[in-house]
Amino acid sequence: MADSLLVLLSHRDDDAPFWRKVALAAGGSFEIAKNAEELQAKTKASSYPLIIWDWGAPHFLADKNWKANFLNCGKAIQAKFSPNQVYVLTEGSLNENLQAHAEVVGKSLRMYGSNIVRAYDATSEVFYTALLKSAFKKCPLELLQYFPESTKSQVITLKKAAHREAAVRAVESFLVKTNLDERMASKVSQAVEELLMNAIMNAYREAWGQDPKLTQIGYSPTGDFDDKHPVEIEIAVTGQYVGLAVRDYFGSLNPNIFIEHLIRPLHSSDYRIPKSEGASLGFYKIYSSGLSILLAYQDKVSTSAMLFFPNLKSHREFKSSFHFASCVRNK
Amino acid sequence: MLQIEKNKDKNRMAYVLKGTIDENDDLPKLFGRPMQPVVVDCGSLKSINSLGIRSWINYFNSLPRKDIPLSFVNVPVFLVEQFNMLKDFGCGGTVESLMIPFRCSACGTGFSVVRTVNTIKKGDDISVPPEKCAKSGCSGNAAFDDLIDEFFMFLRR
Repeated sequence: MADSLLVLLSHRDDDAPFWRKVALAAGGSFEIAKNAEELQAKTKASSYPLIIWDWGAPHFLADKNWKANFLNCGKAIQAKFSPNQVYVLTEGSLNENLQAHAEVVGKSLRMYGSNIVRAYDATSEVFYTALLKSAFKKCPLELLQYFPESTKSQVITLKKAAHREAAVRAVESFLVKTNLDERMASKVSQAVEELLMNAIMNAYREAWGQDPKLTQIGYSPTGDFDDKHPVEIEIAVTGQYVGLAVRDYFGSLNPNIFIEHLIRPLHSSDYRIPKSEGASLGFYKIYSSGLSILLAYQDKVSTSAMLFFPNLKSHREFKSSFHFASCVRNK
Repeated sequence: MLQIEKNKDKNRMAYVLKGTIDENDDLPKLFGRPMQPVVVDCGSLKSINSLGIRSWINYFNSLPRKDIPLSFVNVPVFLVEQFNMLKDFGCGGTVESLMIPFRCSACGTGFSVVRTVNTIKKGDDISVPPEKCAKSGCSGNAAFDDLIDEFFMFLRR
């Protein structure tokens, strides 16, 4: 029995067959809404959690009454569902998506929508199905829920800041042994280094600032971590795609910083060196490299920064394959 | 950890970079203050993290560009991605040569080949002719293994 409904607001012929297959494979049902009125009607008729693709569809926004329609849809959705029962997928930027989502579903979100680039092939079908299946799970932080059930993972636990470089080399070496292309393994290991720097150097500061408790628990961003705050790397590999998670136990992620840093036009505009110690380039560097990124977090509990990419030899094919960024919050 | 070899190259000072660049590398100390044109050989560089990028931009932007022309040679594939990602990564310098990724259609081997910018860019046109596979015993042809518009974006600025 279907336990979610994917409503398609699409303007492209290739969307319907792809998202119908994904919705059904994820155990949901599928409907097409040609305009805001239809979306409202389908929302009212549904008793399932909703997934809406593509919220930013041009024909939806082109309607002269789009703002009123938009808010009416929002009212219909809010009357029917709680925020954690609605997941919006869009090809638009995360910032716009977040604003739209907040207006329609309310600000108390469990989920932020995804920025998904259309690249419809067999791997993206399998992966987006896993992504949708996980959208309404209670805990979106676990890497393996984005993989087929039989998939095993490897975990590396860091207990000292000094382990960072060795861990990055271990990830690269592991990926090469799984037959991944060396260029790809190098790219991914550099992305892991960025996520480790966030987990080791920034997460504690964002959680506690200069709180004196920091010294009491024995956590040091340059020395030993305390027992409750190790940093973990988890890797899972299938023939179709690969995923890695870097997990900290501070749960201090600020989604606005992620979104602000992720998509910036620094390839065409000036980079200003921040006054703080960091470079504010980590997420941007990762997303620009073509890797997909999913940040899942639970306040004061944990943050899992996950990377996904298709398991391909050809870099040209990798660049043309699925690519998304998303930020989800577990309450 | 970054290591730098300094060599005099005609009227230029050549800096050969080896290893990795991160927050522990003091670029002003490692490079010093050059007084003549600078050529940076990046061929043996393995990685640069975001804090390394910050140091890189800080250092190379501190050189007086009018008096000290800056060029980069043997730029590896991962560093090309930084030139594309950040408009300011070149700090006003010029990329003279870079490593171009290929993949053999017969055996699947990936490898890179150094090419000067002049050989791949003619006016506004950029093209990468196929190469013979670099793997011994394979006679296959290898094609450019990336997207032209993305990989050479920095050359179109």
